[in-house]
Amino acid sequence: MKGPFSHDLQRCAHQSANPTGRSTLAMLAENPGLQALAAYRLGRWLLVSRKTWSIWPVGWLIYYLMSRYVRIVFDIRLHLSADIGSGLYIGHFGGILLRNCSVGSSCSIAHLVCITPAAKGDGPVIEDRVWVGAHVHIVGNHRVGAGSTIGAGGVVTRDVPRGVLCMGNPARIVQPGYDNRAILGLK
Amino acid sequence: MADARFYHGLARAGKSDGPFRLLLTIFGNRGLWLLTFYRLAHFCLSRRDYRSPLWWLARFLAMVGRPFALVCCRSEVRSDCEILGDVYLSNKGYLICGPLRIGQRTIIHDHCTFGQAVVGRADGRPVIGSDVWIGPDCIIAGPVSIGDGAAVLPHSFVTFDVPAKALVKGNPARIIRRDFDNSVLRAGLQIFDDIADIRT
Repeated sequence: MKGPFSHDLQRCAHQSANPTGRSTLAMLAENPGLQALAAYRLGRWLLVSRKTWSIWPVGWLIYYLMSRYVRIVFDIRLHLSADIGSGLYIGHFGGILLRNCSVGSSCSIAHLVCITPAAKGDGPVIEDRVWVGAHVHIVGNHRVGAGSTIGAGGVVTRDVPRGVLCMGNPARIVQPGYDNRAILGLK
Repeated sequence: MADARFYHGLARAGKSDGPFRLLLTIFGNRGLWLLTFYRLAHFCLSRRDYRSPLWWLARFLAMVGRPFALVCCRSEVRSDCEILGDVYLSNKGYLICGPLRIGQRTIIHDHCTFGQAVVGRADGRPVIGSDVWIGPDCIIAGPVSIGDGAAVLPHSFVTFDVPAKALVKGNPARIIRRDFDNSVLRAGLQIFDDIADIRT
């Protein structure tokens, strides 16, 4: 639990306006996405913690309360069936649904993003360092390549190759070879 | 109070009227609460008189208002944007609102996003004119201006300057009508998805 979540905190501190002089608690208090991620990481840790079964009742109770709180207050739903890599950054609150998908490390997600499988079949696979804009729907078994960028309002209906910028409904490749390290806040 | 009257006129168009109904509108519209707390926060920005107790009261209310807007209205409105006159903000929420200016009598529905473009464009925030109708699930990003009397149909993504009295639709957006009169859209809170719906 500590490893991926500390990476989340690090990403959040880099994305915020003032990266220095911020305590972890203040960042947690004002960032809804971080609270949702805390609940999600706790749940994932409890799923794999076979040896520490003695803390399961308390742990699952805390997970249940935290996830309920985040879902009702901010409407961010990170299901435990989603496989989220370390260092996810959630920009705004509201309307985020991640279910049965696979997200790589150092991704960014904005508000009103829906990453779910279609009615039948597997969920989408999102590789590392992908920036997903607001109002994006990725529904169905599609693969988004590493380092690509999906602009705001995109609806992904096919596979996206590596390192491209795609936008629109349905999503078309606007610019191949787009460098998204600046907007992700990576060096 | 002018805000409340504007909301009341929209929500109960063609229905019975009365002071009790107006009170119901004030307590039942979450967009109106959001607008009220935005006005308080904006008031705090404009005046910097640390000695007056009124300033401290308004600042405290605005501090309460931001989490309140986030939880109850499910929306965020930046306090440094200018909202001139009566504006309808949707009470269904999911409104992330950070434009430079919004004109009078503009109607903004739910699930809208106005703000800076992140991908590959210059910095700047949108300017929305007066008498504009913006449907649900719209994105307006970057340093663009929406002209007076324009209408943005639902699920569109605007990244260019929209001229006055234009009808815009699509993702990416296209102008599908010029010299379009949007008074039918702005008469009530009904949502029109297509131009064929407006005719009927």
